[in-house]
Amino acid sequence: MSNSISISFSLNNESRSLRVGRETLLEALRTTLGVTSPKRACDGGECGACTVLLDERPVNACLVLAAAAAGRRVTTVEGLSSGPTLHALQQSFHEHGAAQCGFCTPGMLLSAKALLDANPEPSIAEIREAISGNLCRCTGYAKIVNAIAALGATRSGTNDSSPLVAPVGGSVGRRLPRLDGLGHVTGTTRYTDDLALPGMLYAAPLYSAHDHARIHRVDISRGLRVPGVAAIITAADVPENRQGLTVKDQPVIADDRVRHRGDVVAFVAAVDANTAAKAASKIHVEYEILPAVFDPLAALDPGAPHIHEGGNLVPFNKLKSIRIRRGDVEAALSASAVVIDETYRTPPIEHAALEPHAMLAAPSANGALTIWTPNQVLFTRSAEIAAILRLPMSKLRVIAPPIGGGFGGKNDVTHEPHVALLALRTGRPVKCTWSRAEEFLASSVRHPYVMRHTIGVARDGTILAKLVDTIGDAGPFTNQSPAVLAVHCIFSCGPYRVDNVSIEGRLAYTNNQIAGAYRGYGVVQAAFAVESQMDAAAQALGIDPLQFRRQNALRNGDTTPTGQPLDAVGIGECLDRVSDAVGWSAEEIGGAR
Amino acid sequence: MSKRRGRGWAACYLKVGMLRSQDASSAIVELKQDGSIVVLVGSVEVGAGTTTIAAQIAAEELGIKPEAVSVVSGDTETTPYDGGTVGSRSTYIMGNAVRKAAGEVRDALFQTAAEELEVAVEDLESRDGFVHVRGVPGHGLSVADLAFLTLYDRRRIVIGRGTFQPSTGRVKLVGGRAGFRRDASMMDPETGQGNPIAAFGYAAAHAEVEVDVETGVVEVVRLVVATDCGRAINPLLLEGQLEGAAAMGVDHALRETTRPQSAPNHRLTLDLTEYVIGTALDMPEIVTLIVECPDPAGPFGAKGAGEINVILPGPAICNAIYDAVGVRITALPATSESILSGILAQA
Repeated sequence: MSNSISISFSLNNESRSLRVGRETLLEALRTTLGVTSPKRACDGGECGACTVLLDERPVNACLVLAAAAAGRRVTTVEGLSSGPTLHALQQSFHEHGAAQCGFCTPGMLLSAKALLDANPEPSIAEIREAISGNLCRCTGYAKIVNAIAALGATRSGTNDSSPLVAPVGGSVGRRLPRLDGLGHVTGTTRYTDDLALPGMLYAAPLYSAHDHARIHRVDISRGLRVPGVAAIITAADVPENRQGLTVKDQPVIADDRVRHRGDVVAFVAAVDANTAAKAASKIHVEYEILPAVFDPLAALDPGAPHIHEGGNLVPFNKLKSIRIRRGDVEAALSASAVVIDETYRTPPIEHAALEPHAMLAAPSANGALTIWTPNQVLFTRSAEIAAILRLPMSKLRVIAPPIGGGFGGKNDVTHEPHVALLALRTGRPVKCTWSRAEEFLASSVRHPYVMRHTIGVARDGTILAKLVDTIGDAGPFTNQSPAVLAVHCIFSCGPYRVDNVSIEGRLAYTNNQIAGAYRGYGVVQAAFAVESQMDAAAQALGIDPLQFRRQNALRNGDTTPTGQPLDAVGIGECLDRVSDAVGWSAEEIGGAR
Repeated sequence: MSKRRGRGWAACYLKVGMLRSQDASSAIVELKQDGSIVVLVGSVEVGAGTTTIAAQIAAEELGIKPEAVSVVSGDTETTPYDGGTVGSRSTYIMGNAVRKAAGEVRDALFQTAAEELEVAVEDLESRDGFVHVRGVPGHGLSVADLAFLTLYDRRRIVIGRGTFQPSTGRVKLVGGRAGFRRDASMMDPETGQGNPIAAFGYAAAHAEVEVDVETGVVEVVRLVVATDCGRAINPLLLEGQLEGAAAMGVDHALRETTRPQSAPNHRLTLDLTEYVIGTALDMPEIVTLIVECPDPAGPFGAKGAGEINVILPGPAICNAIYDAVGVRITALPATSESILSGILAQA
């Protein structure tokens, strides 16, 4: 082709020549050369997972044209170690636990190497600055900074701490570096998007163009005419086109309606990802736009547009809400010296794991299918996928390669059925990897909740009553929203003894992103309300906020709001340890005002 | 100075496992000829170190080094059922399954050792790859020799199996062949009373912040979190979970939402420029403290601790903001705009 050129460059001290067009250095490394240690995670130079060294300088390979590497030295993490001998940085990352999921690790190591090459004994501030272009969602950076700092300290001869102090004998209690850690620091851990099979096709979805609309017609003919397209599937091609963990209310591919922007309308397989995306854009969909609703309270108004036939209130085993009740809340509130009533709100939050969702399906000659997917709930989801495909589970093998961070965001069935159907249709392996934009469109979020909390406290600081009313935004489908809300309700009194409790939780369907599992599972929201109100109550009573918590904290033999008895209760010791660590003295609170 | 300091507290507890009747994990442990073992678990490795924990628990139960353990995980065809690597459940539930499976292998080795040494099984203990008579460290056999004797001399193939199901409520299935549906409730539908939780973890936190009263910008100076994990199977990996979750909680407190308050009706955040997660420059000093109140049903007393530290930074930081400037944040995230408008409203 006239718009491609031949370039030569050094890759990890070996000279390479290839023809390149307008692809990025990241694409050339990952796709053409099969060097998969630089990770694709944002396509926008924002996360640093694709960091490589160009000569001595760290760059985001997704922002550099491959052609720009001509005549220069490119170093990936494979270039750090020589044979089996690790670079000191790799060793230090491994021993300090600096790699968790490992997805950011190759890029992080290269930024660290560039720093240490220029500045062998950096300060902590200089280390933080040097890796500030590399996002990590697992570690909070502490162990990464320690791993780099330890190396600087070693060079200056001041390293007196060994990270590998093992207790004598025994296995439990040992600070053992993770068994898969060497793969992470050498870049040899293969995540799902790093897998490639002979004859593999690439798949791309067409998502809904609207928040809420009726579909009148889907015309794939123009998409099929794009050269390089192997197959396009629509709703009619899905054997069992309804999915859902508790309620099967989510179409695998939208048929009559779309209910949010992340709904799939069609799915294309083609020779490469760009061709698949181009063909998807040629698919013509006739929509009739319907009114949409984005606020859970508004969704429960009588006049709100219905997202499902039964209305917008999510059912709980045919009930309208989750309820936890014990004691007499009304009497206890009227006996309280202090009553505080406040409404708290929490937002939708992305999991933002560094590894985007990816899925690969490969058919075998006997009609069986293998799917590779970074799914956290493999066995439950494989049953769901088999049901969608109407395959016996004996014909479906699902493998989870190492996962580049999950946090609950990889709990759901996403596009596994789609790549599976395309693989069965074409007889070829089919892979789909989400862009960061797709993560923000089609993945789940932490549930936004509106929580009204009323607490009643006696003059002596004893919590007498708690009244809680939560309304959650489930997004357009039920998914696991009832379970998240149930957990939320159970923990809506915090780690405190409360004898008189009335908790009610309801959920509304909206046209927002699907809400799902997320680290903390409904309790993040509950604790924000509970603990904000605990402080307000302590202040109203003129009690030290730590003392107020200690006084009411659960003890062995106490029960939760559902009446479940507790043992091994550690809350008192946790409060003591923090108090000791911060040197708490009550007079200091409010000192600033 | 236009900056004011404040301090805030928060405390919480959290479930271990899932809110469902069927919450099992299972494990298979195969003894190799040289005394090393392969552990098969259906759990996946999401970065938390689940497979390393499986190796350490199996090694402890057998009295061998974790380096002599390999783990196969996350494959519906070659590994046994697992309820999911979610809900802080793996160390507790998978860990118990692994411990049982490894215990079966240990029992087989002890049987051989008892015969060889002509002592009772009850008098044996295993440590550092060596099975010996309790209190007589020199009198015993290596696990490697015992494996060989068991496999070839006794002609006994040793495969340990373990499953663990928390003692929460019972499943009630509704429906038929078209698909069973779980009756999700293990609680009374009217009163919510019941025992739906497998185990509990606990945590407490204290945040110290500095708020610029002219801009509303919050700097978290120091965050201290103590977490009761029951028993730290691997303190290095546990710290990673505790630090990482706390850092995520700081992001939640100050930055994260896909629907900014300035555009509440609807907005899609499509990239990591608009949707900001903290860099190494944004993270405060985070001190994590490990508290061990052993759970009687946990493996070696362990609970689960993968999630809990994400819970407290939000309320602890907001309580510290109130202490500093008297503004009560009732909607997260606590952005500088919302703090500043609160400060201005006071004037």
